[in-house]
Amino acid sequence: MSEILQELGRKLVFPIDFRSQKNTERYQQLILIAGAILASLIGFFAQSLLYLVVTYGLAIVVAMVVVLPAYPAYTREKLDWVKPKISM
Amino acid sequence: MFSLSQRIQTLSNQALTFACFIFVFVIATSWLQLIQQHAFMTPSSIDNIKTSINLRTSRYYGSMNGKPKENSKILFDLNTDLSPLFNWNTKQVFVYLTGEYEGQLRPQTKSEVTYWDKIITKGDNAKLQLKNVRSKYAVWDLEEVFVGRELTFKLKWNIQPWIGPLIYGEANGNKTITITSGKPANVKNEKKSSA
Repeated sequence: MSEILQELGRKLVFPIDFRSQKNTERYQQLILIAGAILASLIGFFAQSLLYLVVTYGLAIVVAMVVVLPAYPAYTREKLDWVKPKISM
Repeated sequence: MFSLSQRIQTLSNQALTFACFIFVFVIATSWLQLIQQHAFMTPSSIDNIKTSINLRTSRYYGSMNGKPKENSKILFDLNTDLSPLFNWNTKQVFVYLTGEYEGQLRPQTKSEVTYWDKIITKGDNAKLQLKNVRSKYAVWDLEEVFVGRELTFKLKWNIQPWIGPLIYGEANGNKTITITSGKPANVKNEKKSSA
């Protein structure tokens, strides 16, 4: 059972390359900050907490869509490992 | 941000962090709105208070060893507009009419009793224009005699917000009345005349 779980865990890593790691972090921060400010403003001027929560929730969903999946664009740069010099 | 679980963790962490900032913003702005709308200086007028005393022999009305206890009730008019208490962070407002009085045997003790209360959930219903309303609760004191006490009636309120701490306050406009031993029959007559 634990072997199956380990196997599953290894398959669920979904790694992305270094440049995308940096970019996704920046996108995430931008989307969440903009979403928080927008949600606060909409909620305040509509005088409605519901609008605030819905707007911020949408911002989180957008951030999840942008950041979480390992899109092909995020995995383009493969690492160049040093080739072994010793010939066997 | 290397793996999926790391991305989930950083995203949820950051989302919660910004949510805390939003909470602070909501609490601060709703507090400022209360001040700007002079919520802490809301006027109220408690008029036409008629007191009555009812002798009860039940233990549930403060009677001890079969000795009758003086239970105080009132009829009152109340005019106030509590709509300044309502803003985007107000869930509901609890309004209560209290009487404050000192002990007769021990004047240094102060008591505060609630005669009437109401829960307002909508700002549209915040304007209270009550006429000849009967108090909700019968009030008795630990001491034997309640007649002749001077009660200061105050309208107090308590805002229950969606986010943030409870906010307590009281409306301007106190009324001091001496409790008289009006018969409960009086109350019935009043009710007839009002109906």
